[in-house]
Amino acid sequence: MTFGDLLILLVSVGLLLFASLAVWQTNDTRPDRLVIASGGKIVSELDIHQDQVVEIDGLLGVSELEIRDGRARFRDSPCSNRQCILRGWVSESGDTVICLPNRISATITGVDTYYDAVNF
Amino acid sequence: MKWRYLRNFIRVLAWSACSVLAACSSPEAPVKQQFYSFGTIVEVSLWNVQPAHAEEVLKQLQEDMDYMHETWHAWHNGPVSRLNSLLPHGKPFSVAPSVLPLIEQSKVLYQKSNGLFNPAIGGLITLWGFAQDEPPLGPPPTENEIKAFVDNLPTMDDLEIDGISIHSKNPRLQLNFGAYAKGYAVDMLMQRMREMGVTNGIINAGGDLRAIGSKGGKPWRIAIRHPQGQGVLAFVEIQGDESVFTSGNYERFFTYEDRRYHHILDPRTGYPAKGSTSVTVIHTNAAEADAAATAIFVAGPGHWQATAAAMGMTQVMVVDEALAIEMTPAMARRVQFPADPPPQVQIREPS
Repeated sequence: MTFGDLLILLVSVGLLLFASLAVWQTNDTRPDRLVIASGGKIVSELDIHQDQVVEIDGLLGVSELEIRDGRARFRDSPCSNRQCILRGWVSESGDTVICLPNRISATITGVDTYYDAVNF
Repeated sequence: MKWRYLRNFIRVLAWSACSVLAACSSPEAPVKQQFYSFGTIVEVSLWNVQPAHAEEVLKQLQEDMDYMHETWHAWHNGPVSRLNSLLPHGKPFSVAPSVLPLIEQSKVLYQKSNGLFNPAIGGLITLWGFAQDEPPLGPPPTENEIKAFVDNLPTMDDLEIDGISIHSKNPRLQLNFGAYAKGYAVDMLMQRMREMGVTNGIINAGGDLRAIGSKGGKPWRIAIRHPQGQGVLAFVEIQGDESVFTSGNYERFFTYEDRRYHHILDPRTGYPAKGSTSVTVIHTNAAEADAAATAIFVAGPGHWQATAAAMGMTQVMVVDEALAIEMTPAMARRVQFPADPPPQVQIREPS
């Protein structure tokens, strides 16, 4: 192998590493949207950075979800034990709030989610 | 000579470009779908599965889960409720083949847990009002009612099995597989998923999760919920084939006269188990992890190590009522805390 061969090999490997890193580093886990499902079906996808309160129909009645400062929570729900409200705010992509009795879930997503699932 | 360099350069560059394009063309996000079964929202994530096939897999998993839910349900009409209606008579009868494996494996796990995992206390769960679809409102059972139950505590040893024939030596024995059936179901679903050709995916039934493979070579990152609703307490990265199970006293409870009563009952006292807020275990088998998480929760902080060792659990995290954390060395090597500074952790060997 000549010096030229070695130089080409090194430059090529460098290019490959640079390109691969560029691909792997495109994972953007910043919170982006709030995906709301009722009865397992997606009913709404909202911008997590746009403050608002939305009403979602569930099995028992209407639940209120609040989005504020890039976070989300259940503000009100017709369930009896209010666990969904006690759960408080979620802010990481991949994190979820659920109202089991009303069968509503809201999951924060990003271009790439930080958490693939939440154990609760 | 120059042409040779140029040719080689173009060749390597083309190879690099192909590699990068191949990486780019792999799916960027898993296919996710939710359905409601077993009293919880079940979320299935599939990686690198064609959309049409993913739809077929998800439909099949939901059908299977619904079938298992009804089959093993303690108070809905089905094989287990039929079993419970016949057990008090004390005479042998034929048990449904779909329930027998759960009974047999529960007997083994009951022994290993030294009685802390005890699906024979269905009567106690009913007494507390947790054997119904809606959360109970109270009041809690009286001291006398609880004492009467615990003084003649039904156990899995009271069940005698001969082939498909079964009878109970204790007329108060009622089966409730609430601390086991969901884990068993997750194992069955994972087997079905593999049979349908899926090699990378997660089945998450609330606190009952099993994952196989990876996310395009990267591990699955699983968050563990903070017991007091403050986002994520910790997370672990898993790859290959592992189950992550969390049992918490925040899942089902009722408040009566300003006192909170949760659903994980201590068979020794008849009351909700004291000391723990949540227990997380990582293990291969989901059904065993489910039973162990309950037994370790009941054993409580400072006392769980023997139960963990007897049930073969090496990766355990226990959060107590004051939110102090104890865990095994094997768990400590994997768990990560997003909070800064991270919480204080006491390391305890299973023994």
